[in-house]
Amino acid sequence: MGAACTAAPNAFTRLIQFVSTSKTQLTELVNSIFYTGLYATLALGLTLVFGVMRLVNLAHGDLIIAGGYLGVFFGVNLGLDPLVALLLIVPVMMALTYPIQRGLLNPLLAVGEEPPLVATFGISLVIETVLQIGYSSNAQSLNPSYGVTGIDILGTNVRVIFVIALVIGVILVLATHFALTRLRVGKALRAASEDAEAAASLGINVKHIYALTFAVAAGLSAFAGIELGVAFSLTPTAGLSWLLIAFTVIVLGGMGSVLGTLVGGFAVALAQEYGSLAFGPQYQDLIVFGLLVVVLVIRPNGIFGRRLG
Amino acid sequence: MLGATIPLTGSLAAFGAQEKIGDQLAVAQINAAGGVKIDGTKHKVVVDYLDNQSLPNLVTSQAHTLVLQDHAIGFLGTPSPPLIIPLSLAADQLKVPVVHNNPIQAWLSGSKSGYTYSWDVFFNETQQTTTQFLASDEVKTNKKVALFDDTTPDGITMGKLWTQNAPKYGYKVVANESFPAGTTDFSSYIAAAKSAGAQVVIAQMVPPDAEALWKQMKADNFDPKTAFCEKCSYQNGWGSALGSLANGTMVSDVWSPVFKYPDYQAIVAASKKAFGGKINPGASNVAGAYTVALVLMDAITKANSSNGTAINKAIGETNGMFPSGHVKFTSQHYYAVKAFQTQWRNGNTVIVWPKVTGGSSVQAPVAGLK
Repeated sequence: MGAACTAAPNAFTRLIQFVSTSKTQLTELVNSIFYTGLYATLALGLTLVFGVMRLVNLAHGDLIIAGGYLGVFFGVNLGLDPLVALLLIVPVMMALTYPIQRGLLNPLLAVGEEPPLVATFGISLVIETVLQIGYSSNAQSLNPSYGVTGIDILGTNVRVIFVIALVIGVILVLATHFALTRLRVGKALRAASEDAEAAASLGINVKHIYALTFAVAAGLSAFAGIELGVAFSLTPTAGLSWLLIAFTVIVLGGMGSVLGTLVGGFAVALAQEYGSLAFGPQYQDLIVFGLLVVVLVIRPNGIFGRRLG
Repeated sequence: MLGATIPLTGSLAAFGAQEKIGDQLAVAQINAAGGVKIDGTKHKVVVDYLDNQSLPNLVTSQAHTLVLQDHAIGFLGTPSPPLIIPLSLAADQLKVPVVHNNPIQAWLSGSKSGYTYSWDVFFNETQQTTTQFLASDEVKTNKKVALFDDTTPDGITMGKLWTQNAPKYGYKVVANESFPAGTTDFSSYIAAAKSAGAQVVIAQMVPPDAEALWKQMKADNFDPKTAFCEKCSYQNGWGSALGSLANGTMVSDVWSPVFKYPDYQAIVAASKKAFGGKINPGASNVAGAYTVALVLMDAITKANSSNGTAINKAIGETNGMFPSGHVKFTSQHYYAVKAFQTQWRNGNTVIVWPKVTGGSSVQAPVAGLK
């Protein structure tokens, strides 16, 4: 144990020394660190739903995009800054998604694993259609000043939105972990994830816990949607590509692991940045999703296993 | 019945929606005059639209559905080479003609032997890829160029032509970046262009990716003297999505109301209604679709038949004024409209090269990126 503890920092030091040998490599490291926040936020809701209900939410990417579009809506209609608009977007997302879990997915979960999976695919299509009707298929974008400004960090120009995303990502992950491990509702949630029947016998309202989890996950997704809209752009059908990134993050970080999203997010960012550096940016996705396949084959529950919290 | 497999969703959706507006203008005009004549009788035109989701593999199956199941006798075009190439190949297979607006060389690259039932009314890249240099000549630059091209057929075709044309016009390509559509992180490409001192940026990409690129260029303090976003900013959404960041972007175009071609007032009215009162390449897409739909329906009436081969022959004999100008096809089935350069200003575009009445001069450096 002791040897392992000393070996880890040494390995980390060697990694830092290795990646710091040239400015380019340091740039990749800095970029990876700041992408971690966005990726962890992308994956947090997905891992929460999977951890509690063992449900792969195929609508997760579209919920993220819907959050971004709500940012566009509140920006256009109320003139709100996207981050300020989150004060409205998160409750709206939660209010819209709680009944979906309670009324649609909960009954399907009782039938088996496949029906709710198919249902989330249906929800995904509904969200895409609604967004297309409301906003056409033109790309939309959130354009606050922090989306198009950068700051110098260790000689690397880092976009302010990624600094904000890192802060948000770390806070959300730690807050979620704290809620799961220290708060009463979190403990109920973990109990429901371990054994729903036993939890119900102890008086825990499992149906409510499931719906609350889905709603909180949707609320968390809104943060990612806003970050994507500010950093890149939004289209109604963009959810799938971000779902794949989120899925890769939770596989690498441990399926159902909240803290693991930071690890998985960093791992995905590292793979993208150094993969691009080594093989060319055109192979970025190939490297990341290749890594996903390899990990799934070797460790189906993710590198760090499956555990909520 | 006409068939249309167009991108109403996916990365090319902006073009599909604009194309539909142009189609509908043409159909309304023809139907107001009683419709198309087949076997001596006039028939109202109906268009069956299928959403190909910007996916090339869907285009072929939808083309077959439109003809074999829905009995379409002609195809309205679909935008962008990745989609029109499979549609053109399907048109040849089904012997049902399609008329469209797509970059000519990229479209021709899809078939070594050429097409029989596919007809193109758009710019020819051999001419269009000179306009970026000629427009850049209007301002003082160090003549160093950064290319950002995705790996779609038009990205590849135009990328090669820009690389070939640059030295002819006294420019040097100092960064030549190529990437697949769907790329979101351009930081390494921007760093390469910036460190090479590029003052002219020419991009050929799908709109969502380009919006991310423009934001990253601004954040990375990369402010070139001129910046062209071909395809990416050839749609109304460029201005509405990016706001002031879109200002100063240049894009080649083939239609403008200043030329006062047939029906330009109807195109302006429909475009303003659809695009929040703005006139930009969105209107050009409407005009282009309007033109090719009229060409197809005129040919049906001239052929006086629903037979694909007869309609195809009549299309080849087209020789007249349309909303995009005077259309007369070459033996390679295209009519090349001369491209010019426009610049985005507050949601509208104005012609900046060559000098025309109603145009303006190139504003540099790029206002939105400054």
